[in-house]
Amino acid sequence: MTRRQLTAGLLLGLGLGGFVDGIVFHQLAQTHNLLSARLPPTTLAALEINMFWDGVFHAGTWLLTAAGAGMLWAAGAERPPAWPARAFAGALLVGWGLFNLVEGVLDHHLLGLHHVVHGRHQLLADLLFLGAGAAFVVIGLALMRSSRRQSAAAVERTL
Amino acid sequence: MAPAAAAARPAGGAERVGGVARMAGLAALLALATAQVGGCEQCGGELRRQVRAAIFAADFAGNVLVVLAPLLVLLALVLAVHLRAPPRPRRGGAPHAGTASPP
Repeated sequence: MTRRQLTAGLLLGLGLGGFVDGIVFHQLAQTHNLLSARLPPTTLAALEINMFWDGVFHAGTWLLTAAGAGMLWAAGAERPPAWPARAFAGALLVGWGLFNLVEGVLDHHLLGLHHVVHGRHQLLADLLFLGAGAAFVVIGLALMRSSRRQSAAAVERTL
Repeated sequence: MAPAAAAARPAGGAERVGGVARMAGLAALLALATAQVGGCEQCGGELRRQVRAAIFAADFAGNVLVVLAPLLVLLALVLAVHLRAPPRPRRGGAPHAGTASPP
């Protein structure tokens, strides 16, 4: 896997992880917004203000995704010797997992901007979010390692 | 083969008509969306002023920074990985700079 392929996978994983968070938790389940611990969306005005900050956050994740698409294009332009699908899937998962870990630690625990769900089970939900992130990183790294071993074995067979 | 290929291609006039139809459709969509915004009772007035004032208050820059903080940290992480990784994998798959990877 070339450096650009790896970076593209990580950036796209970060962006897609951010969109999953926004689509699932902000829009479909509506369990939180970006600043919902500071300004609970209990009135229409508060909901609109939260929606604005959600938009700023998702504009940022859009930029990461666009950067990932650009990097993938650049990776294709340098004519890489291989497109290892398993390693790329691993990089995507690592990116998504990193999103959960960094966003979870910063926004949920250090800055206290919001929790995955507000109320009785917020700590459990926050920990599950972090646990999912850690699991994605571990699985992603394992996929990348297995792809590397596979390509090493292929080289040995040709020698 | 050449005449068949030419026949398969749409004529220039048809392409132009398609482009005009697409532009007209887009203009109609925009007109509809604008009409909806104009008809929205919540979009002007006191609520809108309240929301704008709350968003663009003294803490606006701080809120932007706080909201984008995780993404900036993540970007820094990816940048660090990008700068440390070799451009191409070593023969056999392990990372090493400057050598081609297996076919």
